[in-house]
Amino acid sequence: MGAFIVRRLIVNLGVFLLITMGIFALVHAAPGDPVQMMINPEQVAAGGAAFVARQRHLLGLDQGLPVQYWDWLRNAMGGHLGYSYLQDRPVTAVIGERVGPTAELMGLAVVVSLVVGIPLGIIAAVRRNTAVDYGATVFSLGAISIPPFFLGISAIYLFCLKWNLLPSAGMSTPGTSSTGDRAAHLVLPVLILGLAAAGPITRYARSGLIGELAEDYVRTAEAKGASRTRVVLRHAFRNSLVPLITVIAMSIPTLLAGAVVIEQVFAWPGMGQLAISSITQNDYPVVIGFSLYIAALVLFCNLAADVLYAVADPRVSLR
Amino acid sequence: MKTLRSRSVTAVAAGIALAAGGLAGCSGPSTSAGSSPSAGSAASSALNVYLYQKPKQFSPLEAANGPDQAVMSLVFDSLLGPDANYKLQPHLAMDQPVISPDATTFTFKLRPHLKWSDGKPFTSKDVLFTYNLVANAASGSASSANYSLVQGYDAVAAGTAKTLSGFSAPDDNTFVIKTSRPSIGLLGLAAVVPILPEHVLGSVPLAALAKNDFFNNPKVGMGPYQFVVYKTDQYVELRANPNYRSKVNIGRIFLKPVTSDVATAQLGTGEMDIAQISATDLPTVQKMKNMTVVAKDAPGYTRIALNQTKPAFADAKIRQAFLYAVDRKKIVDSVLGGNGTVPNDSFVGQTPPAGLNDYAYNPAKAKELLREGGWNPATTVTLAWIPGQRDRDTTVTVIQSQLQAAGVKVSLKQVQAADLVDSYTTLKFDMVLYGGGGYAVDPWNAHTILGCDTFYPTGGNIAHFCDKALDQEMLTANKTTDASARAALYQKAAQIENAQASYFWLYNPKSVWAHNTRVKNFQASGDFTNPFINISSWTIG
Repeated sequence: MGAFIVRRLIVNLGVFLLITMGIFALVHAAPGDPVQMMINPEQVAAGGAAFVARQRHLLGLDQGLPVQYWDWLRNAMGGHLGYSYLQDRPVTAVIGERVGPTAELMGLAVVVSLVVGIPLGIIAAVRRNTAVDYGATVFSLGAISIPPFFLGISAIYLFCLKWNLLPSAGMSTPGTSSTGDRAAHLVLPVLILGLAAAGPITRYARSGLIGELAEDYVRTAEAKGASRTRVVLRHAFRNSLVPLITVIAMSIPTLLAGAVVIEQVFAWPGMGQLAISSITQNDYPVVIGFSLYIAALVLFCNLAADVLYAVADPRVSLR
Repeated sequence: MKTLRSRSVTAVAAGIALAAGGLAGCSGPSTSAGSSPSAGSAASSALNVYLYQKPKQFSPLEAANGPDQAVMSLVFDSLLGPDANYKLQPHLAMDQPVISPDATTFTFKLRPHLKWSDGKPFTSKDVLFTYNLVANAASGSASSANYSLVQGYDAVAAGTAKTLSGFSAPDDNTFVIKTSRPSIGLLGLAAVVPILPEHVLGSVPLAALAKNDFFNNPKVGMGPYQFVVYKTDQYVELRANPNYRSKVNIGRIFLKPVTSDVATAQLGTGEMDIAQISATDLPTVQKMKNMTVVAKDAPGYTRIALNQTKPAFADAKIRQAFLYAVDRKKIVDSVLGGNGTVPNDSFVGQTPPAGLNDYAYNPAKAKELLREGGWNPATTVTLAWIPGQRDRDTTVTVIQSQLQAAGVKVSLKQVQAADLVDSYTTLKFDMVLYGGGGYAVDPWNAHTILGCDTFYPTGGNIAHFCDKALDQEMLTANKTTDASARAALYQKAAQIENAQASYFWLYNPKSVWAHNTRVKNFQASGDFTNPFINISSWTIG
């Protein structure tokens, strides 16, 4: 397995390099000049032309694209992703401030999705065609179909405005640092994101397990006297893990996409808000940094999924 | 080795524990300082105020950005500052500047014995330092050309001098600006610059100044509040400056950059004390308990720029026809709920001259002018705008439909800011709807959108409107020191502009503010980038 991981990391590095080139080219091909975006057109007379020319030179934007890319790559290999055009601060600092809040939100949402999705899927499969199964199906379809932003706005209306039970936005109440306050701010966004991600997990857990429960080895195990619970959890469920691992691994970058919307709705200061503001204001270095963060996350999740396949199913050999 | 079953049970148990922990914190909106009207003395000393966008950096050198300016208005102070009626009032200056008869020398006397928030004495040295910075492009200043009339500017721009000879500080309490040409309008641009501490920044090399961390954490200032921290994307925390030139009653302020929807919701939950609200949210807010709503005219206005490099729009008759074709009064009444006025020139805040054409809704007149102007009814023009503001999103559909009725085909195009700025440079737009601007402090400020020598990107004249007579009138007014004579000249300029229909003026929306009734003495500001015009008078009770 060690050799497999090393090989995959080398391949991932090559893929990552190609991704950097693609993102760099695409970002610079987007309409709009990032320096002109910094200055209100009505304030251009105040020195805009000279300011624009100076800034373009300072930011290296008057160089050709290959030169800009090479300069960026050299700095990136040293861990320096450049400076945000808008905030004049290192991109690593700008992104670093927001990774924590997003990780907190996503991490808890992943836990909720697993805690809800897997047990619900198992119960629905074992109690197929009963009220429990139908309920799980309704839940999972609803979670997949209803847009998170709608749930978010509805939740704010009910829990915050109407019933005044929970805070409506932000990570904490300004000036407060209590854990209870932080937890109260987490409840709605975590539940919405987590339950939305639990929908597909429930569906895949259910359908995978139903398929395994129809296999001969299950009948054999039961005939040998194994309890139903042992057969389901130790044998059948383990064999249905491979497609489920894929869904879970891919749900993490998807959760990040969903987090963009939820972060806007709940004013959560995470990567999602940063992505929107940097894209709309042509803050190239931050856009590139954010895109690379997503690319790295997807590559890592793919690698983790491949490794977990071998852990879950000994028949899978890593080559 | 653990079995799959025990691992699963552990994972499920951990998940339930985390969820339970989260739900255990479910205690309703926190009653900590500032967020609940019924909290004790800690809450009475803190205020939550809406910030309409996330701030970027708190630097007078950067291109003007509304939320940054809102924060800087609390942390820094300037020689003069606008009041609620956009009249410049003395702040750090003791009185209005003495202007020489030829309008080329402006002498400011500073208030004596003032201190920075760190206790160091404030003197004219700080003022001199600041103005030399903002007037020098090498410092990274985005507004250096505002000072192109100041003596010595060219030498600094050429790199042959480090400071402008036109700025001087003859003593600790006097600051003088000398210009090479008369310009009363310079006051409106220059006298409101936030003053920076020379004792903090004076030793920083010029080339490194713009990136100095002071502008992310401006801990030293002359404003009513001291900067504490900016929790990125969450809030800016400020506390009262004990060395401010007058007493400040509120101990802490939290400025929260949230969307207007969230701000309106938080007014209802008590998490926000003061917020600017849109006209569409007004009915909701008016139903809230413990809420007061006040409104004030904005210093700018919403308009459409017609691209006058295109022959169709070069004719004033066509531009006039467009004004007659649209019922602007009805837009104000229905879209803004009556919270606005209809402008007929760009000199916002000035008394309109008598006899100004109000271009009242008259579709028949519009059709007649279109015929006279030779408008081709087969032509389709594009109206571009940045979506997201509800009043503008609704207004464009009204305009499309009413222009259509007058015989002008309009297609609507939503754009992003980047596309819009590109189109200003390439001149590929037909009509662009946008708004804002700050013309109320001094009518000269409107020159950037009206001047023959201020076509974008040299200036803000996106429409490429040009009228030599108007230019001449404004230039003469800018040289005139007598206030009533200057006002008369600008009134004449307004008449010229009105007749030429320079812009498709739409409405001057009022800035509508909602505040919790526990906030006393709040005075509405029309400028939503500066809501704190009388903050020293605010109390919580």
